[in-house]
Amino acid sequence: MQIICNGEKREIQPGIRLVAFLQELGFNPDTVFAECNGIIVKKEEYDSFVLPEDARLELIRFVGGG
Amino acid sequence: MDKKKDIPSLDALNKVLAQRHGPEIQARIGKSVVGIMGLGGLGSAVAVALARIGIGKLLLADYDVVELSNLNRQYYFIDQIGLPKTAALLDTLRRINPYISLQAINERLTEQVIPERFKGVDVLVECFDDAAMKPAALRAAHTGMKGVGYVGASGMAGFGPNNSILTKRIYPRVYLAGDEKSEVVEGHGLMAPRVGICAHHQANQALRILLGVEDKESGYANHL
Repeated sequence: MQIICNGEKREIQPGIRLVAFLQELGFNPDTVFAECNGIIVKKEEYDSFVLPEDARLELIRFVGGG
Repeated sequence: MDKKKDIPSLDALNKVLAQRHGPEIQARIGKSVVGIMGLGGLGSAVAVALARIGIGKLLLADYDVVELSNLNRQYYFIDQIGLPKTAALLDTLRRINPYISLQAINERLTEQVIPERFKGVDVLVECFDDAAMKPAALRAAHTGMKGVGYVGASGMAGFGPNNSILTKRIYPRVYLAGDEKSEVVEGHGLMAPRVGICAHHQANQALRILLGVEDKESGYANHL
């Protein structure tokens, strides 16, 4: 099944949770801001949030330093 | 420092700021309230830049004390080592402009407390060092502080090209500055010149928001 992540089509496993998807991308979920279909995903929901089919997912991955 | 100089009056200071910046612009700057989260290399420089142009009020948050290792990039001095960053920076800012309203928030911020601590600010500037606090602050502002201006930062370590530091709009009145990838690694630490570039991107973007300029281009991730 497909989603659109930051404007690009991506194949994902049906039922995959946001946290697992972020880990697959090599991101520490704590450092990522996520919006799915126009709604910001709360941090405490990352573990349970299942990516829906055809989701439009927007991710901003932050790096430390300031 | 033994010879105490006369401190200019509020009128004298406002007059030169208005002459330099234009009276209408200065009036707007002087009424503006900005919150700064984190007073390290980014936050201390943003605060100094905004103080110099006569911002109305700054809310300054940090839980840390000044250390020797901060002086390679942060706006502190040898004689401030050991002081809380909030106290040290308030002192420096008062030497620049004694009439700015300053409020210290001396605590470790969390996603939950940000909207309450910074209630009423016009623009919130995210200057955290910790990578996890950056998205947390963006979530807090975007969900709990509707309509607030926001300028975050990500990616400014090392001595990479000047022009790889960009400011991008992600939502209306919400921006991120940095190159999005330069994190701290061996031989690629945080250094005053490039952290300063990023800080001044943030300060100028905060000013643009305060003056009602909205950049329409440069969406962050295509569709946001």
